[in-house]
Amino acid sequence: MPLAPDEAAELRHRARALRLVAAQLGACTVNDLPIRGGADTWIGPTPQLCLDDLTSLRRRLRQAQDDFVSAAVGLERRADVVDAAARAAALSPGILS
Amino acid sequence: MGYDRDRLAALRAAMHRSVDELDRISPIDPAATSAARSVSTIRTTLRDRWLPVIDSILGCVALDGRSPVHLDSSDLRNAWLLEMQTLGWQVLADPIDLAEPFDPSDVTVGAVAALGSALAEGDLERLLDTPDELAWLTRVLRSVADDAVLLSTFRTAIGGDATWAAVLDHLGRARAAADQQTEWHPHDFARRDHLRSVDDAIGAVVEIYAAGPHGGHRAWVPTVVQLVEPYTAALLLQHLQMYRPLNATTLALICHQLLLRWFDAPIDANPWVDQYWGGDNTADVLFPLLSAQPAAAAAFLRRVAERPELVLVSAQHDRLVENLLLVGTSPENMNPDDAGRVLRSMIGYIRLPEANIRLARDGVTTSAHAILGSVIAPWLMQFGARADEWAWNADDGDEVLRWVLADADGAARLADATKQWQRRATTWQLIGDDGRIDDRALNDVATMFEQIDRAFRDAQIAAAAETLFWTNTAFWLAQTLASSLVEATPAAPIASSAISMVSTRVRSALEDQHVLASAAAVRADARATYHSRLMDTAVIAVIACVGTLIDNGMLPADALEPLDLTAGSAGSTRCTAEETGRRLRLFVASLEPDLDPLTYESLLLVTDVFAGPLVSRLLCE
Repeated sequence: MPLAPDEAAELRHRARALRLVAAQLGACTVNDLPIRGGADTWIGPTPQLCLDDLTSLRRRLRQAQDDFVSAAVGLERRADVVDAAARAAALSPGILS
Repeated sequence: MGYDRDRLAALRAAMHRSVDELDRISPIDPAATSAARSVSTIRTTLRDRWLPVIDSILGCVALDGRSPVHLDSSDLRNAWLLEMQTLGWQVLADPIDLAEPFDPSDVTVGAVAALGSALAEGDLERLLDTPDELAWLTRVLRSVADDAVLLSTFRTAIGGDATWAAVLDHLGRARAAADQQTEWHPHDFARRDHLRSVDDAIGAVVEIYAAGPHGGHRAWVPTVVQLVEPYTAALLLQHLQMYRPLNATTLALICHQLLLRWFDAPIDANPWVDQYWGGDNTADVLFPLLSAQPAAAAAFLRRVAERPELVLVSAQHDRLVENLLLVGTSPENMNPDDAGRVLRSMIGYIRLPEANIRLARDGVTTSAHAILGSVIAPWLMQFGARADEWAWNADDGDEVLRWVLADADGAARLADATKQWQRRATTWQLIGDDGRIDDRALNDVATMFEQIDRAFRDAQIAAAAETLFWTNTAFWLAQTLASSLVEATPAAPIASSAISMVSTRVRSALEDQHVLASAAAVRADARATYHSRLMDTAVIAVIACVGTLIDNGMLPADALEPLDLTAGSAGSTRCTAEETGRRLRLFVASLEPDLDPLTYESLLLVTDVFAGPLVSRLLCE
């Protein structure tokens, strides 16, 4: 069965979208919240709980950012495999015929 | 809860912006569903949890029941909020009802500055009057100690020694009270925990205090000790040993000054906290510190030689006094002159009539004989043959020795202390520069043995203690002499490593002569046979020396066989000691052909010193 050349392009397109999301997360204001929510702004049990939560959210955001990049890398590798298979098929006329 | 209105509004705006940004994230690819869920959670948390909280604080205070509160200024933990309130912050009741307004492990420069100011300017009796406040302060200070900026901020806020003194004295008083509670209720763990929490708080304060400027060519001195109660100062020194140990000279000097101040205050004025609380007192805290640093113990005792009461009627526990004197006057730490000055002063004070009652401050030494029995053990020579080294005469020394031994505990402790005595004796030079045994040194040893022997007998103390003492000391002496003999000869390099006082040969010979008991009955018989342990010592010394020479191939294997001290002694008309001495000398003389002249001369000297005609006359009078 001949391989669809559009498949690799589609995978790379999705990867680019994921990398874009990762970049958006990197620039998100959530990253600044722990600094803004510290002891210069408010103090007490609730502020402390909030600060702990904001710090945790920032950590989670960064983990999500990494996960998006990893997913993009996975898609790009799959695209490379598809491309390699297409090149191999082009060099083997017996199989194609 | 306290907040800055403008900054909190800015935080709210940043949260709204964050939610908007996360909303704008385009539909997520199925390859990243887990990460997408995280983004969703973050957005939900901000929008549904924290924005409403901040909205309620900034806009709907009354509706949410969040009314302004009055901060309790007597609670140290509110110091920071109070400080911020003066800077325009709003203070509200916090929906989360925690005991602590902020996490002590996450303090800021502002919080630390406020805390320091509160301690410097506030009423400590109100600020630090609960266990929770103490525990909280300890945790905050531990955090401060780990951060150079916080440390500097706190020290600046505290100011000079006056505040440190006030804080430390407050904690010292709390400690004295808590200590008494644990004495009254020894099985109450809550009270023990409280005592520990006070100790922790003192430790935390001292750690920060000790973190002051270092360097310079002069040793750092904790000057605050001059401003606080002696008991508080003692506690400070105790903790200081963990964070910034003082050198021996400084520690001894400060301890001396503290005890003088503590002791010399008018007793009816009742000025010190540890006088009317039941736990440890100043001396009880200081003495173990000194004992742990032998050079400091010695330096301290040299200082108090003219004021023996500072040692003898200060600590409440005799073991502390004994340990201090043992360590401080040990020959390793003190020369004979100073030891004589210190111990003669102590002895003189102990023997004063009713001295303890007249000058007692808080503690009284109740087992002076026992303490002295241990302490004088390394210095027995100075009670007789070498009395001049202590600037007294042999009669004075003998009289004191008998006074110590007259008490069963004193005699038992002296007997128990023979290890110390032996350690001291190893420094005696029994061999002269010419390789010969020093007859003066040997005579001094023999004189000391004779003196102690008579004192023991006259005191009629328990046989067990006497036997223990003599067995230990006689064997030590024999071992030393045997080693000296062999090391004085060309065979020394081989012999020194092979010497064993209780080799089978020596042990067997001693048992044959009924000196080394193989059973209780034999020991009783030996004691009946020989009038004096001094003579036993002579027998042990000669047999040990000859046995060692045999073991080292310097005498034939059967060299000990001609010696027979038991046969015929029962029916002899001679004094047993005289007869034993005569037989020993004859035996040694018979060895002359087999020995080199130097070894023979040394062996003869050993025999004569312990079993010569002079000794026989002495024992047979």
